[in-house]
Amino acid sequence: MKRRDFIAGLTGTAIMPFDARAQQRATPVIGFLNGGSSERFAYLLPAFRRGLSENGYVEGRNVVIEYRWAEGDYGRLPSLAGDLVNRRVDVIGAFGNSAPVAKAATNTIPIVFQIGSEPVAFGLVPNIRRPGGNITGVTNMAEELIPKRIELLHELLPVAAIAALINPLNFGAPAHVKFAQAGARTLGIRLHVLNATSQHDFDGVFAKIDELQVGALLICPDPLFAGQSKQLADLTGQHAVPTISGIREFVTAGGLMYYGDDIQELYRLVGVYIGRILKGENPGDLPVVQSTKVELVINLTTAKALGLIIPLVLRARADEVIE
Amino acid sequence: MSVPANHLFAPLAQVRGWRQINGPLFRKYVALFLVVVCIVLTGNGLFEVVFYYQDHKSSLIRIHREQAAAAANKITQFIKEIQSQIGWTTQLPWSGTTLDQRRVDGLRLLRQVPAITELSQLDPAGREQLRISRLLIDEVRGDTDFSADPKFVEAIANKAYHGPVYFRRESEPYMILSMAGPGRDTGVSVAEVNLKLIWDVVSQIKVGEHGQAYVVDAEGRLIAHPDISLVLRNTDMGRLAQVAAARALDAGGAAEPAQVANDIRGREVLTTHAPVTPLGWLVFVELPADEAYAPLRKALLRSGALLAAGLALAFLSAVFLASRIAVPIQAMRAGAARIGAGDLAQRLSIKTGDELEALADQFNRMAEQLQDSYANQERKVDERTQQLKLANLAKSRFLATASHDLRQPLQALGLLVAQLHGTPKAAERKRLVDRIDTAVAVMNELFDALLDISKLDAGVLAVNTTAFPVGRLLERIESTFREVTRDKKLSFRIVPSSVWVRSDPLMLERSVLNLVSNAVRYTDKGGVVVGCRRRGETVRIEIWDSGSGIPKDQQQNIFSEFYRLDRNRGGFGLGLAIVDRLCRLLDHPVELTSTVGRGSRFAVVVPAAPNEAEFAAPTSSLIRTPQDEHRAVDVGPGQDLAPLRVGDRRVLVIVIEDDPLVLDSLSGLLRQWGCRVVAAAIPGAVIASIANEEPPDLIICDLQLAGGRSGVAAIAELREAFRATIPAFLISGDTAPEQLRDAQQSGYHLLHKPVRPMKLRAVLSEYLRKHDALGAIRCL
Repeated sequence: MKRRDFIAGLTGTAIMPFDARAQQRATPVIGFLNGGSSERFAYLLPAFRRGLSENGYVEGRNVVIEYRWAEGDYGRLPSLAGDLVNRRVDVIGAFGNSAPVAKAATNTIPIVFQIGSEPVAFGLVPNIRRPGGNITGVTNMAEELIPKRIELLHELLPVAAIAALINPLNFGAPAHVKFAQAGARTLGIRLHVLNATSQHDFDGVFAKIDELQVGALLICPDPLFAGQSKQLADLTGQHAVPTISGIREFVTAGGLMYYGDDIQELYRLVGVYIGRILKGENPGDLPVVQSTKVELVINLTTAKALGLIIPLVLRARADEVIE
Repeated sequence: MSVPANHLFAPLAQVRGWRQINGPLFRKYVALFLVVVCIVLTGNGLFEVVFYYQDHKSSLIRIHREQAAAAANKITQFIKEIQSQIGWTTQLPWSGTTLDQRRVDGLRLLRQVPAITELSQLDPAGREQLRISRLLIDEVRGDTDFSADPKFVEAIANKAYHGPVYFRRESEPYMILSMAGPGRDTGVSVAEVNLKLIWDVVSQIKVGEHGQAYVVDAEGRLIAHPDISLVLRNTDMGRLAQVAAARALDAGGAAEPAQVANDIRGREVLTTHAPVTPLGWLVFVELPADEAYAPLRKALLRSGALLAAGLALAFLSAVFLASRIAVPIQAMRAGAARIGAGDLAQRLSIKTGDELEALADQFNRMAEQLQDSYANQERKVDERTQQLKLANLAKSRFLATASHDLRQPLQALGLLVAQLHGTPKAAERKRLVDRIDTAVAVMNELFDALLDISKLDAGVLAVNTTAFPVGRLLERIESTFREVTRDKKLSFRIVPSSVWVRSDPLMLERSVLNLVSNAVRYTDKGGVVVGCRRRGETVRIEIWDSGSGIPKDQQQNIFSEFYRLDRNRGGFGLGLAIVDRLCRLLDHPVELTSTVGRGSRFAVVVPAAPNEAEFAAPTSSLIRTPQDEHRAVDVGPGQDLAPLRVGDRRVLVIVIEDDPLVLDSLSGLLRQWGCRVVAAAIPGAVIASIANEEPPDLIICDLQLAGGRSGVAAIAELREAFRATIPAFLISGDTAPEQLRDAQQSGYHLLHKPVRPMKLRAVLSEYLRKHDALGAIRCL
């Protein structure tokens, strides 16, 4: 009797390590789909890899990543997505405005998206808690913060009208507009929506800003804009437009203000989720994660250049100042 | 041993000599040894495992409890910290600050505490005057009335309020914390706290490899978990046994908190908890049971391996040790078997240096002794056989010589009788009868001597030691040999002596007589001297002769039966043999000194006795006294004897004798003496013939009758038949020692054939005289 138990115990301990090994039979492949610029967004990849490593996946060692960048040309996304699907990748990470395309491309391959919008509203998932299906992801409150950004701008410079830069090709564009309008309405200021689909449009946009004589600019969240932060920052400086953006790189590149949450965190969370899915978890069981950290960064140099004095309330709010 | 034990030993059968040691003893010892070791190791292992299990479990639980308590503490601190920060905004009275100031203070608080996503301030009346948010546009002077809201009411009452955990957007845990200032006029600050940041606290708790900590609120809903998705899913943990038990405990229930339960994924875990007071939350720390017990399994494995190794070692040791016992024992058993089978030269060689070796040595010694005693036996048997052979040879020689010696007179007898047939004249007849008498006398003498020797050999002679003067003996010797020595012209001197000796007078006399007889026979010239020499306690009776002497190499032989130094001198060669036996019986040493051609000196050493000791008359013995002998010689045959009578009538004698010749001659002689004789071979016939008559006066019966019948029994039968104790005596031709003993024991007088007529007559007279109760017996 005791012998049997002992043998069972012995077998039990022998079997346990096997389970872990059995799963990593073939090297998994991750499809990295991004609507933005590989150059500009490259700085986010370490965060992504960090997220993967939290579950033991290291690129090149036990996992392969197939990168597909649309370089700002969203029209290329469907074919890129299709390519990944044909390659039968094990999971797709859909970044930079590529979520809906990825969802349309496959029903079977797990997808983890990174968006700035509300996923249920855009039909990506039926609910937050348990998406079901093959899609889940992380979201920040990029578009929800639009009204707040307007408020911050307004606090700095109580202008009568502001402009909002929107990329109509972004699937969240209609929501951006809605939020901007609501914010403007609450504050009692006029809103001008300006569209840009590529960086060539920027000059035209700023020309329009000068023409309309709006007092400030809100840059809506978009991978294109995110990728062109430097250019935009320069332009805002040139045209002397106080601007607020949801991209951190904007304010470090010379833009006036940044209010938002850290995209790097989002990329990390996607990496974590992808790792878990590779380990065998069902994407349908993973709820949509929402980012929690928001911060206000003000570039004092730019403010001085613009001849603006930062009021106390704003200073009180600022988590960081750039001098 | 049972079959399984045999199987256990099966593989060892290959070992050489296995059969030799694989006995029940061996198996018993090996099995016993194994069982003992097994019990010890198993017991030890079990104890270890059981106690280890207990210790391990309790130590793990203790650790986890500490971790849970630490985590609970951290969470409490976190909340307290937020509350304290919020407290900054309610320090001053409401009226003492402007809204802008409050706004700035609020924003600073927001920056200070990232967990707060929204802060609103209610004026002392409970109306919301300020709301600043990270996500939404701030609201100033909203004036919404929260005066009935618990976040206001309770804050005012208790200075602090914490609301239940709720989920924003279905997935984010939030909690309302409100604080009131020191006075009633400071208003209330209400903060919306995002509890996701508690997740950091929880996820930092390291619980083994795969363990985790999590927090549930007062309703049992998960508010923090390393796997954020579970939290976002708003998982209800209340179903879990440990949560329910902990909540019961918290509520004051007496239930013992579960220590082993299933977690949310259904795995078995070791679980402990700590409360986060006063929020009513519970921090759980859980470790998968597999991991918790992994060391236990390792310990079990260790014990198992140890047990196996121990058993193997024990088995080998047991085999070795048991064989060390079994092999010598088997060797001894085999050795003993061989010795038992008769191989006494078998020796055991066991060199184990212990008791077994000592046992084997004893065994060998025993075998040696057995061997020796066997050899001894055999030697003794050989000796005896040799002795018997010699005795046999001696007997044969004895018989041969005896029969040879007998033949001479017998031969003469035959011839003389033959001559008688020729009816010679009376003078010739007388001469022949005299010669016949002589021949018969010679034969009688021989038989008498044989009988003497037989009696001596049978040991039936009783030594009657008494003190008597040796002079008496010397006198008789003198009278006996006076004539013979005169006839041979030898000088014969007896030195008189007054010495008294202690001995059997008859036997001593006989010995001396024989010695003197020999001396006389072997001396042709010169003479014989007999004298006594007193030496301290002993007296030497010495017989000197100037005869032919005895060579040294014959001096032993002459004491043998039928040994005659010189055949021409006559005699039977029995005299010295008789002397030898008599003196051995009397324990008197006999000495001999002799020189060939000069003479010999024989001496008998006799113990001296004090003088004037009483001289007891010699009692009758079976040995013929010299008187008897000479009387017999003197009384010649042919004298007419008076018939025997009892009163007036003739004596009735019954003769039972199976030898017809003896029967006839005896009967004839008795009739000649005037007796009436009824003779038969068996008593039955006699009884029949005189059944109606008076009982007989005497019974003469042969000791051994035909058909192995005993003469003693025949006498008894006759006595029975006549219902009278008829006097009886036995005659016997047997001189065998056993017969003599039987006869002695029977109590009847025994006469030996051939019975000399005169002797017979004398005995008869004696018997008849003694039994005069039957009537006056007169010898007319």
